[in-house]
Amino acid sequence: MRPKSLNFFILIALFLVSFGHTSYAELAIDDAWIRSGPPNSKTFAGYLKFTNTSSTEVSIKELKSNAFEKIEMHSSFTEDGISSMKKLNALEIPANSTLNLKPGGYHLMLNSPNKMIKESDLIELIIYFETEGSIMILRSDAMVLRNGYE
Amino acid sequence: MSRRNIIFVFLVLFGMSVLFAYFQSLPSLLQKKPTLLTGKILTRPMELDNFELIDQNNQTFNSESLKGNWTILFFGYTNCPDVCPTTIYKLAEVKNDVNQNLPSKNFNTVLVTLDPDRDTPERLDEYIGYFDESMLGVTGTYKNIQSFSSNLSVFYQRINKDGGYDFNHTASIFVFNQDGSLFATMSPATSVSELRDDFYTILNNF
Repeated sequence: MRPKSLNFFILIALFLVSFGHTSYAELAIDDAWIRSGPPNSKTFAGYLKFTNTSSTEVSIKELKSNAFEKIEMHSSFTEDGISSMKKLNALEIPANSTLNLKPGGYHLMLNSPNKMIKESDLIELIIYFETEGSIMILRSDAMVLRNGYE
Repeated sequence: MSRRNIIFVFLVLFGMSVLFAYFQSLPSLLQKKPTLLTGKILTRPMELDNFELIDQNNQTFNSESLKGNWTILFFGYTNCPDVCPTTIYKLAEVKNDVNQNLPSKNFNTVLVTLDPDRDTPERLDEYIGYFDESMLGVTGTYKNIQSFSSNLSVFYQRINKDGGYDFNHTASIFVFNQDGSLFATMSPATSVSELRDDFYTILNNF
């Protein structure tokens, strides 16, 4: 049923995913991982690769996980020798292109874990993205690793 | 000997000594000073004013601590989940590589926190111990961290946000020579292989 209060309809697509790769129509997710940290860490960084295979822009609007209170999208950048971090409201992925979230650049900031986050844990990420006026939901697993897929 | 002959002999001797000096210094004039891919070597190493900080083992960290070995030092804070662990890993890889290939040229790596409120020696011990236990984590009083960082012209600014705060700060990696003087600065936003090449350039030439 289409909720009338929304301008766009919401399509929920939950998948059984094969590890390391998730896709739903126009959006694919690869190599999702979260940097592990010492016990009692309150903040973690997450990385993954979005590939938009469609001919229209896809916009990542929000991410959620049962394991964290809050997930934000951030960009680390260095300007005039000063390293800074900026919170982003959305991540835009142009048609037929890939956006790589990687250390020192775009990344997810996962705040306030609800449980102890340990190496090799699989953390479920729910990704809300907008394409052609519709909000879609995609599920993916991120592995907790010390230093990414190397 | 006439006066003219004396002047002539003097001129010949003078000319010969100028030529001698020129050829003596020729190799060093011809040798190009090594340059770095990711930063620069200071024209003259810069001695630092004394400073008083403390490491994760509650040991004093001051200008004496920088002497004896090469030291690579950068600024950060342990609540930084993206850039700081990445820099730690990059430096650990470079360090492992150098230890294998140039075992006589051991160097120390140091993280100086800009967040002494949260980064106590205990917290640094936990954090550094997790990512690279051979690294030193250094903290201190506000005043001492500020005076040390301003000595290196490091800028930092606390940015408050919901439920916490972050820092904007100078990203450079600082390289100190065995006399404890600032020798070179590098950018961490580069690949491990470029950083490694630069360290080899320094360690092999100086």
